[in-house]
Amino acid sequence: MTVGLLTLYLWMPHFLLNPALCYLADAAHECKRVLDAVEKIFHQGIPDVQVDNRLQDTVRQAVELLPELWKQAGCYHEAMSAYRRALLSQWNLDDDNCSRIQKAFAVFLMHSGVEAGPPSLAAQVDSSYVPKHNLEEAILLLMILVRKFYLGKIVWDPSVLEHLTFALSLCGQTSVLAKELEEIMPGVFHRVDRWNTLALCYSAVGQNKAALNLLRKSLHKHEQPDDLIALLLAAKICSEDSHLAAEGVGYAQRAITNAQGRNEHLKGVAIRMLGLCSGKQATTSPSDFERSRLQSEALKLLDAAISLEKNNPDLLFELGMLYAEQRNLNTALRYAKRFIDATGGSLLKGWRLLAQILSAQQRFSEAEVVIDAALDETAKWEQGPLLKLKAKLKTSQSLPMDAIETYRYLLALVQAQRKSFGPLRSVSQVSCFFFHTHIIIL
Amino acid sequence: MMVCVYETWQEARALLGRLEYQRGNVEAALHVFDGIDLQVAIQRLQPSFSEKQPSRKGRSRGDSQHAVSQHSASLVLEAIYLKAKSLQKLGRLNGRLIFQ
Repeated sequence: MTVGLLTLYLWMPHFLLNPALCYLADAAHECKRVLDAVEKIFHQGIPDVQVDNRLQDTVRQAVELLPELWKQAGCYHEAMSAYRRALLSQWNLDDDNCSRIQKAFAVFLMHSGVEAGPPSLAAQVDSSYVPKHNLEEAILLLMILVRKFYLGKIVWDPSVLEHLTFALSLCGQTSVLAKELEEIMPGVFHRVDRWNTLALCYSAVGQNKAALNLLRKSLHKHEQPDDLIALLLAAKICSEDSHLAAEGVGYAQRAITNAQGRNEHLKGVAIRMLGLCSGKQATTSPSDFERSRLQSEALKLLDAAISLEKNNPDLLFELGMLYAEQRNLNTALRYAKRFIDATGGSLLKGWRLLAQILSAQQRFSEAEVVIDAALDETAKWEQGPLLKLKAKLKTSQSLPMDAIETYRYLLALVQAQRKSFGPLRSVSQVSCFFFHTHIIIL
Repeated sequence: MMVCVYETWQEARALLGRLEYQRGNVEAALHVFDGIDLQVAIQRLQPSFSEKQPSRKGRSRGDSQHAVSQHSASLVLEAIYLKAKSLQKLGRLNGRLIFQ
């Protein structure tokens, strides 16, 4: 008996258990009745002229209220179709009204967790574009809202841009976002904010030079020279290029002095950036003395950083790299292992580092075991670098025939890749071909 | 004649309900709104709109008739809309009681 009751309880619709939800579901049904009645009276949409204002106001309010009621009642699928109905039918909505619904729908699409499925209403015009999924539909709605603002139809709503930023970042389309940001009229957005956001967009798609130029503008002494995020991003970009490393050291030092109070938690990141910039600077320094000074400086900084962020995998990797560059191979090995543990072996670069350190210690067969393990974990398309490393290991062990076999495999992979992705793309293809012929000649 | 009286009675209910709603007496408003029949209003309004489209002549009498029934329908529709709003308020009130 108790079990039976329990099952009943579990299977009952949730609004039967909660009177508040029950009222809200009733409210939604009443509101829907208003819209049904209006559709029944006006078959071809509401005409502009014949209707008195009061009726039109009621209709507009009801159209806007219905999806809200379904949401509050917890009926998300009904809410979804109410939004579609509001936007696709002819209700004679005004611009403000329509924009509010579009924005609420976009937010709902992104955050409700309900997969909408393509809108398949009869009202859909044949030739019109059907979005593939929720996120795309939300982005299109938000873009429409931004356009409406440019046309002067609605007042500026900063949250629209925030939602659009979130949505486009979520699917990695930051270059599209950058274009949107560039189109924004002056006077809406503070220019430093715009530069910084643009820099983030560009650096996310690998256009570091453009990003750094923007950051230089925003970090100028007449703008906002103490903006911590901009400083950190600038330092990060500089740490990847040995010619910019010296400039990066300056940004990182400024970041460390500014990481106080509310931003205290970013101190570890700032120290890490300084360490990385110093390490990069060491690679181009002309004198041996200077180089070893910079390298030990970098190590000291990264050690300080890891005491602040104990389990940051990126930091573990960078320490491994830096120790390996210094030929402190045992410590490097320890960090490489810790990196693989921290990432669960899911990242290729960890395996590669481990194998490289092992081969530097002349432990070729162990390195080969590592590579084989990594090959098992990696998808076919990404095996290229691993295969190259494996062939080199074979050569080092004076096993040229095995090396040729591996290169042959690599070549097959490269050719398959070229067939599916287009003409010669990467350096690895050329070098693979070169090594192959080289070994055959030997 | 009968229809006309019934319509006046509906309008009166709609107006009274709106007053109660504006005063914040949500439950009283709901009580008043409960007696309103939407179906009748739709039936009354439907012909007046579908006939309207083609004929452009005979304004004086047709127009005034049309305006009257439209006024009545808009009152009824607003009443149902306010009923939904009242239920929403009641739901929120109940929700707050439960979660407190």
